[in-house]
Amino acid sequence: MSITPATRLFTSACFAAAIACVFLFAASLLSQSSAKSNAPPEPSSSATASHNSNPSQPSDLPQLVDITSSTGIHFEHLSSPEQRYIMESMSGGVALIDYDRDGWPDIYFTNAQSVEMAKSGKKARSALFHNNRDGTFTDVTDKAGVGYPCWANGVSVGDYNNDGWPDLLITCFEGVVLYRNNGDGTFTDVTKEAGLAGDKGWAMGSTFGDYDADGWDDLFISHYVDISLDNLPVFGSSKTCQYHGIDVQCGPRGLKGLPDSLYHNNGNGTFTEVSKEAGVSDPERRFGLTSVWTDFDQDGHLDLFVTNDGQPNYLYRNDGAGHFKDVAYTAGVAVSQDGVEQANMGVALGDYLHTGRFSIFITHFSDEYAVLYRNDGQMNFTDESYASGIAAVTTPYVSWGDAFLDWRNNGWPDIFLVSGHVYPQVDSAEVGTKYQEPMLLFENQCNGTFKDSSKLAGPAIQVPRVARGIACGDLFNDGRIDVVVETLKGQPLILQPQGGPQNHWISFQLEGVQSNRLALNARVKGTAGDLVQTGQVLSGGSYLSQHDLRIHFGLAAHDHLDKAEIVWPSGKVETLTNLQADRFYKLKEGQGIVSSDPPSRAATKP
Amino acid sequence: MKKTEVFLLWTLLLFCSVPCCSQSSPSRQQQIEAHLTQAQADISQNRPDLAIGEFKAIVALDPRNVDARGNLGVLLFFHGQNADAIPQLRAALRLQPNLPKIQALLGLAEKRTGDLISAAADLQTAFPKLQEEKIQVQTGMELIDLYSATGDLPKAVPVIATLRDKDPTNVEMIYTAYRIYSSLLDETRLSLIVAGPNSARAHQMMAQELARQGHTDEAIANYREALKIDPNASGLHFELAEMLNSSGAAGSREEAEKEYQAALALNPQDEKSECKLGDLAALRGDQNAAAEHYGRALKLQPNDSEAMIGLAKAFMTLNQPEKALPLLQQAVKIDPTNATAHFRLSTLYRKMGRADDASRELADYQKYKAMKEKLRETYRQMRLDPGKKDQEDDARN
Repeated sequence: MSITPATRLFTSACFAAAIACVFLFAASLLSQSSAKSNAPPEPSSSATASHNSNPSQPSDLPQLVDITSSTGIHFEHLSSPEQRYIMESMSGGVALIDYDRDGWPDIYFTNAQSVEMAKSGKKARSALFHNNRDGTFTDVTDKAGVGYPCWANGVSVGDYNNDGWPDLLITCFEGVVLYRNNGDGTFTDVTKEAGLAGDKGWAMGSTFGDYDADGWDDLFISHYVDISLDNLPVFGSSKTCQYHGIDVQCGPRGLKGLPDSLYHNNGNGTFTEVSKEAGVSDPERRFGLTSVWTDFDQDGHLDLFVTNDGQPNYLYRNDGAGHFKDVAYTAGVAVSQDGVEQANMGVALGDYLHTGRFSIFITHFSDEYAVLYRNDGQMNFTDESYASGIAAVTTPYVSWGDAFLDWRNNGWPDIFLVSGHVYPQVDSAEVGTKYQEPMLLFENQCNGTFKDSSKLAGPAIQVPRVARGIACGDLFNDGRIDVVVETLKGQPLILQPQGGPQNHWISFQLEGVQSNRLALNARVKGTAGDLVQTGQVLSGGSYLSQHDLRIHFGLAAHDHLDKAEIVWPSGKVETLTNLQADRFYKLKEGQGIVSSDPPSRAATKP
Repeated sequence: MKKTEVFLLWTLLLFCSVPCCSQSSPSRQQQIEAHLTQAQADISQNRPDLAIGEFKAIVALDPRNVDARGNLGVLLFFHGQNADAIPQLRAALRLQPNLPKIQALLGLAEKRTGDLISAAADLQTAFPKLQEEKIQVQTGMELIDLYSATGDLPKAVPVIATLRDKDPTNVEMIYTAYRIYSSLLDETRLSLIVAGPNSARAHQMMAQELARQGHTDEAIANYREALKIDPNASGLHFELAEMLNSSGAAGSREEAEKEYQAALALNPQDEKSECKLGDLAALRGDQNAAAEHYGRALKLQPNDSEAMIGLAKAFMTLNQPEKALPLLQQAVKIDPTNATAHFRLSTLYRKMGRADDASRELADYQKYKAMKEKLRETYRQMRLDPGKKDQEDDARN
């Protein structure tokens, strides 16, 4: 019997790193150099760092601290109190976008009004916050002209005209809005001239990716429910509008779905819809949520993963000739391990086992478990949710945004996810779940399993909220990955890792030349001793959100990267060697390193 | 069905023979043959009323003529003259007892004249002997109707079971069965309440009823009350555990686990509780404990496909596919429509590189899943709620 060998053996790299780090940690304790301070960390330097990747000691963990108030970000996502209609529960995407290309991630929040507001002509204001490089942000929405795109659900970043300036794609309750970045701090709505005005349905997940490798970002948009403000199902009106016997909003079950759309970039600022020809039109009209491009089987062609709410996911395999075939069932990622469809909200991709392959993590509704599909190669995945220790912990929650996130900088991506119910009514009944729910953090144990550390990373993530999208990135260029959480009700949340081991790290920003300018779906394989990890530039993902486009590797005790192997979307492969850790590298296709910067002193400010 | 056709269906004797038992003189015999010929003509012209007269004449000439008695009885019955039909049919049966169709018709006639006791006796005797399906169905349904009227519903159970075996998709039969069982349920429920209003079983029954109506909390309260009255009553701990397990309330799963354990303590042979404990262990990620529970369940009930699937799942999670494979293969043999088992097996074959086997199992999974979904959807669509529908219509207008 030739079973694919399990890859959750204790790998030599992880073992060595753990031993080395425990040693160093012990040394740091002896020298009274505690890393437990709640103060923001000083920029790392190999001379002073204490390193630890052993997750077993709570005091050793960085704390995810709520620094929202110090950032100057004031934004309120609107929400009706009762959420009597499904579209009032689904918005909440957030994007990290360096729109002014100053090397500091800025933040864009989507916003959505209630049905009542919409019917009376009122709009919800989405918002763009400029990163002031000192730990604070300034609301530049009005100047940028991105405040009122639509009833905004999600957001993704791409560079549709290849001018090097990242553009914004907003998914709306009725269609999409494409904002062209003018390069001067302003954006222009080019939806119509780009040929996207025909997209009229309820759009949710969007993702840019150059599926035909012509150097131009194509665009996929998943659509959700076929519903309009003039034809709304009545709250509690049927079995599909009830939850544990309580009257709630209707849908998506019982409502009609919408087909999905793939737009081919014509290379002249316009798109042409090719969904049907390409085979990704979703004729079954499943309830599409999040979508993301990646080359799962590493055959050189971008594949497409689309989650569907309560229905089987799609995994479209790219044949390299402009056609896709749904292989989700045969690949093992369509449904749960028992063959049951789950809610399929947010998607995270990550090489959590250091195999060089991207596994899939998906968040779900309560009474379902968040699923971790391990990528075994050759379009074969295994549901590792139970074996990895994730399933039981995640089952009670309605979860959304998620990410593989190396918040300890030990080189092993952990998992972070946020939750919050869709029915405020659950608070009035004993149904075993609440409207506001805590966030969850799982530590990668370097052996294929994860440890629930949600209560070990500080109080901020234990506070119950109604969260939706999350975006991760190094907001303060301090070498640590922060998390921006958009909530459905009220203020967003900025979480910064503080304290814990002073592990090394390295960051890459890629620019394509023959490849698309943002280098979407470029992969970097970083080798530091026996710590070998792979990262990727991704558009979209999480839940209707956009992470930082830079690739970040934690390096634990390694003060340099022996080798960085870059696989560009064009197929070119470049190798860089002996890269000093704790620096931000800008790489250009065919030109290697174009700049290298140390972390910013601004990191100490928030 | 036309009256003539119905009549012909019921007759056994008409036209196929002339009297053979009687010792008539040639002249009487000729008269009888003449009457019979005329009766044939009347029947073929759809004039049973005239044929009745001819058969009466024959009976007058030859009172021991079974065929004439029988056919006269049949004609009178279908002519609505039940009271007149009865003596003719009885006479025929006296002369020749092994005539189940005649006896069934006699039972029907007796039922229609209000002689329910005789009717029940005749229909009951005739029913198992009837060969023609349509006649057996009609007889069976009349018998069930009669049992229903006389309060003898338990006697209807084997009758409907026989009928359903013969025609499993017959909607009328299925509905009749449903009515019999639900009436029996009502009757039993009432008896239990009358006999032991404060008994553990009465509370257990009430809990089941509340659970069926979706009143989980009230059901749990009744189970708890039942357990207070009789902590050792069989099935109580398991049912309470099931209710707690499905309630979703905080801490209910832990409580459910305790109740399953209590059920097992009372009855170590309780295979279902072992299985459920396996499910709970698997849910909290303790696959070794899950495997132990499922393993014990399988020892108690080697053909329980759910325990097989559970154990196979645990083995798959523990990365022991070689142990999972035979279990899943056996599970789909025992329970061929179990979509989960087919899906699991498909996953396992895929991991083993057995692509064709994986595809076959995946196809089976999709087939059975679609079938169940269709059923669920049909049921959902049938749940018409005029009040809610009106609300929706109002809102849209």
